[in-house]
Amino acid sequence: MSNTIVDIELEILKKTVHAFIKDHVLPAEHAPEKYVKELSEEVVAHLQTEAKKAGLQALHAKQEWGGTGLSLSARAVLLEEAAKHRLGLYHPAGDAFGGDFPSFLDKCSREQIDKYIKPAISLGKGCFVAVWEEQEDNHLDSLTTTAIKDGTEWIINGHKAFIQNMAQSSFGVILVNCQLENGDYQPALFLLEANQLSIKETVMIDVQSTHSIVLENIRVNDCQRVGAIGEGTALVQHWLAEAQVLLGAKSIGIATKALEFGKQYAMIRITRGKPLAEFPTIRTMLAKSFLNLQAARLMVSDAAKKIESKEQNWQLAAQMAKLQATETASKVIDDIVQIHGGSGFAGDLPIERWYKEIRIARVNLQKAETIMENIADIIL
Amino acid sequence: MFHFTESEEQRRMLDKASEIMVKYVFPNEKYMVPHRGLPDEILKPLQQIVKDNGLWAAHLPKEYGGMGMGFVSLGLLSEVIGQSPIGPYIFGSMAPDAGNGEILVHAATEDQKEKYLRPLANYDIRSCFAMTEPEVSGSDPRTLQGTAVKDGDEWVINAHKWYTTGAEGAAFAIAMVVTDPAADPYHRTSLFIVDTDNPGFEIVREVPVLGDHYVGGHCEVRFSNCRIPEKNMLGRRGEGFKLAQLRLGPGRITHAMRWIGVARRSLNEMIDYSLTKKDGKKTLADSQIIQNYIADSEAEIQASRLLTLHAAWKMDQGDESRKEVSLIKFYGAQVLNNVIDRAIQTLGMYGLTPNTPLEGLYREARAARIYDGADEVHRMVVARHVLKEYQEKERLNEPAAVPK
Ligand SMILES: Cc1cc2nc3c(=O)[nH]c(=O)nc-3n(C[C@H](O)[C@H](O)[C@H](O)COP(=O)(O)OP(=O)(O)OC[C@H]3O[C@@H](n4cnc5c(N)ncnc54)[C@H](O)[C@@H]3O)c2cc1C
Repeated sequence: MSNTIVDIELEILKKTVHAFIKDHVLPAEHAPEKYVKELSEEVVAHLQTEAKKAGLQALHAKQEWGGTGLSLSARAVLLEEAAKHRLGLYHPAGDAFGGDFPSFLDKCSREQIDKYIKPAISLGKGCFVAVWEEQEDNHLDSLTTTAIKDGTEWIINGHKAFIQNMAQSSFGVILVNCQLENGDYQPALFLLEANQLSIKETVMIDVQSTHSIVLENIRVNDCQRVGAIGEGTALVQHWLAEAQVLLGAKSIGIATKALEFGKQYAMIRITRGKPLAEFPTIRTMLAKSFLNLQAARLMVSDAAKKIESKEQNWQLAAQMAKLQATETASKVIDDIVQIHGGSGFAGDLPIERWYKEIRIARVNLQKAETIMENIADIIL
Repeated sequence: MFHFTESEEQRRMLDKASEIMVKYVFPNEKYMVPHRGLPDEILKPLQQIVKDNGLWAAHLPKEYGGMGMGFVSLGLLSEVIGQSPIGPYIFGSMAPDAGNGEILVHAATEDQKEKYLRPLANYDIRSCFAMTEPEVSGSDPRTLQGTAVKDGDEWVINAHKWYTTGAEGAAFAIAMVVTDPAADPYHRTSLFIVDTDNPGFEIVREVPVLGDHYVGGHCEVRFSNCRIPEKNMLGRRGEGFKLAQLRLGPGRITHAMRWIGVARRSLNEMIDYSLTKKDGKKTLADSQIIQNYIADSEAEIQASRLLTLHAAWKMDQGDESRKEVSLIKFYGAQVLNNVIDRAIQTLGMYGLTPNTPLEGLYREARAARIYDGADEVHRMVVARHVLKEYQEKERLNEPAAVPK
């Protein structure tokens, strides 16, 4: 689905994103004396207009739908850059590029594309994904939400939790187990409109809005199905792998920016007669951050390529990259908080927000224990 | 002489405190307001219960309504009440008032004690401590820039401070400023008591911060030509550094034991969840991964607890315990953060929701590695002591022993 982008073109795009963050997003977030937690709808709309001018909208969605149609590798590079601001981990470029369009939407019929995807792109919105259930530990095979056939409709019962970016989406997709005529259950995806659901908001670690939904006899038409019955988990796995790579890239983005703050502060903050940058403890923290970020970045780019070419163990590559990138970013951000002392604990700098959000990223989209188990399974 | 058990008197105190925690403290956590704590109408009656049970203000001498006990007992009690962020407020031993109370006990004049210490000890008023300045490194208080200049029988203070914890709602501040710029670095500063209704005192803002358990926020404050009477100097001129240090020793015992209370509570959250949460037929507690988390946390908590009680015991013997206090400061703060992190890891995304206390504890805990001396400074102190101890030994191969 992607243009083949040569490195040079990607380098230019990366510079465009860098300039976009500097010229538009950082000023939008800049509010002296105020503690910015989100951007207003008007500001986001303005950013989206500017992004459109720069040719950056719906990075993943196909060009014929109105998107930019970039490959996963290219998006990983650009989103690392786009994450380098206060709200960047979960709202890269301040949502200027619109919402997310998971790869399984490629399976959508023409009617579905016209009804759901195209309007979303023109609204600057995206698609939420309702997969996890409360306390389900990120296991795709132990989900309980079911759908039972009734004529041309399906009746869904169950619940979904920790749905992210709902406010940035005009529609969503839900993973359910469909009951077949023989009584067996097979996973499938259905398109949903947010307004047909009862939604509850939960704020995670004081910083991120997530949503949960309870589905009680919710009816969806069979024509809202994406892909075949039985295909649901495989489609979600592909989305998951892509999302893991991108979360990894964005984590590296905020941590790289944190390292910039750390370097600058270490050079100007004087204690015991010399700048922090001259203390071996601090030098080691900064050097290790630099080293480990580069290692994580290489894993993310390697995983992106493996997913694109569906190389053997592509899923594992994605999981490993996600784990390495989020753990590395978490350690970097922790060290940079430390280097800043009281200023690190304060919300004047974005580091304080990143400290909270990276904790979410570590348990989000499969946590270390699950991934370790999967790695062991494969190598043993 | 080694014995690792509480005296009967200590046991009674701890049992009573635990009972109050279960009956009155934990159930009221739901009324806690970020940066403001419990509303007075809930807080005051709970404080009365603590007072009636003789467990009020453990850090203060009996003559000021406190319990007048040694550091070991103080530490043991702090561990129990520290399990809840509102515990110290209900038991009258919260920072920064506890530390300020201790300085006042040591250094205040009789008049100052009547006017400030008595109402503070009774929680009729709150206070704050203004030392750290944004412009210079708090890790090196010899570099403070705020000044007080004598003018007739008044002092005129000009200073810009931040992280003045609890300033919002405080009746007075203890300010640490330079009075003798020409003196050696340890004798330049003095302490002053400043009423917060002084027109020269201004709260610039409450700094937005990661954690929200402290009442009255962490404020940026300014003293602009702030005139105070001569008699409001606290302690002797040039003693600022010394008195601020004095405040920190006992404070680190109570902090470290409070952290152990928090760590223990987080471990209990993790155990409780892992025993009930099913992963297929098994519970999470059946998984060796989670068992490792539990074992590592238990080991770290025990280690930190024994280190802290040992430091407290040495202080009860009249030792300054500089090395031991620095050890528990950085080790204890790390253990606190480690255990909460493992607990969140075990609960997954659920552990970051407001449905458990973990996310709030996690945010607050990060400060422990910064306030009262950052990790790096305390490690430096410990290393210096250990190097010196080694160099003073006559032989390389002394028998291994509890360090003197
Ligand atoms: C929650 C909270 C409450 C507080 N309450 C109060 C209060 O009530 N009153 C008050 O006056 N202050 C208070 N403080 C301030 C606190 O005491 C200071 O933040 C602390 O002393 C560190 O000073 P700083 O922030 O200026 O950091 P700096 O001194 O600038 O240090 C920054 C970092 O540099 C590194 N560093 C420093 N020295 C060395 C060294 N020698 N070697 C290697 N690395 C080093 C450390 O990583 C340190 O974290 C509070 C702080 C917090 C976070």
